[in-house]
Amino acid sequence: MELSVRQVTGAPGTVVVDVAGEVDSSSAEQFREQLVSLIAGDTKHLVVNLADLTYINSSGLGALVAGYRRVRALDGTLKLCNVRSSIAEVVKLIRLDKIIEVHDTEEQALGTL
Amino acid sequence: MNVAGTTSARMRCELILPCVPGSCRKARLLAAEVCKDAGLTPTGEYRVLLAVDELCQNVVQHAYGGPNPNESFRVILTGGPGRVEVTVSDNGCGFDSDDALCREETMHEDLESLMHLEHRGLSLVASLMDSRAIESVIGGGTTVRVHLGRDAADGQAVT
Repeated sequence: MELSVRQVTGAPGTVVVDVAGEVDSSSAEQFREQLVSLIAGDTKHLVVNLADLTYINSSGLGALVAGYRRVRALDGTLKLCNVRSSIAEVVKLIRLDKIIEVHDTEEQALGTL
Repeated sequence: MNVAGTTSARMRCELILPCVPGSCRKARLLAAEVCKDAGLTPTGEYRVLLAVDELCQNVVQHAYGGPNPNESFRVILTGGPGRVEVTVSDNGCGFDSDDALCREETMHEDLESLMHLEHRGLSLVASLMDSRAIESVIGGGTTVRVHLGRDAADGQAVT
């Protein structure tokens, strides 16, 4: 699993988090810690770009919810984008999309902030 | 790893794995091969991989009181055209399969439930797959069988 962060020009407190590879039981805790640690101070709006995510298990999905809870506590937002169809179907199945907004593209997600 | 009865029509793989976290990924990688051989869609394949992952994690975390390289569990994957069946069994501590949490077959959308999805593995598996059967005896081990897809022989979902 690789996670990288991009600042968004002209949108203070907003970052795009690119997640690549697999988030499974061996990496979910690291993913959760990295995601939550990003949310501090002025950084409270996250767009999580899953374009290069090939697999995520229940612990990884739980980490996304942990990040969402953290930003909500700071009146921030966490949105997902570029979710591949197989993962998106499971996101819908467990009704995670009822809690975390899912957008087709990064631009769309940023446009709703 | 023992791969038996491999034909173009039906593939059966059996793994005996140590009760350690790395075994979940091994089972998942083999499941991916079986899903491809069975011609599942990427979405179907992902459902099966997630189910295999959850079932194996359940064993590793709970069957023997946590990871234990001296203990093992069995994963059987059977793939036919458009259908994959998974059986995960252990000789561990077992549990009360009549427990409400085990019988639960739908997921809840509240934050707390979703944040701890990994503790609701059996519910998630039930949501992902077309069928789920649990046999567990306290002190006598657990077997969970799930399947996804249609039986090519009669075109019917088999439960």
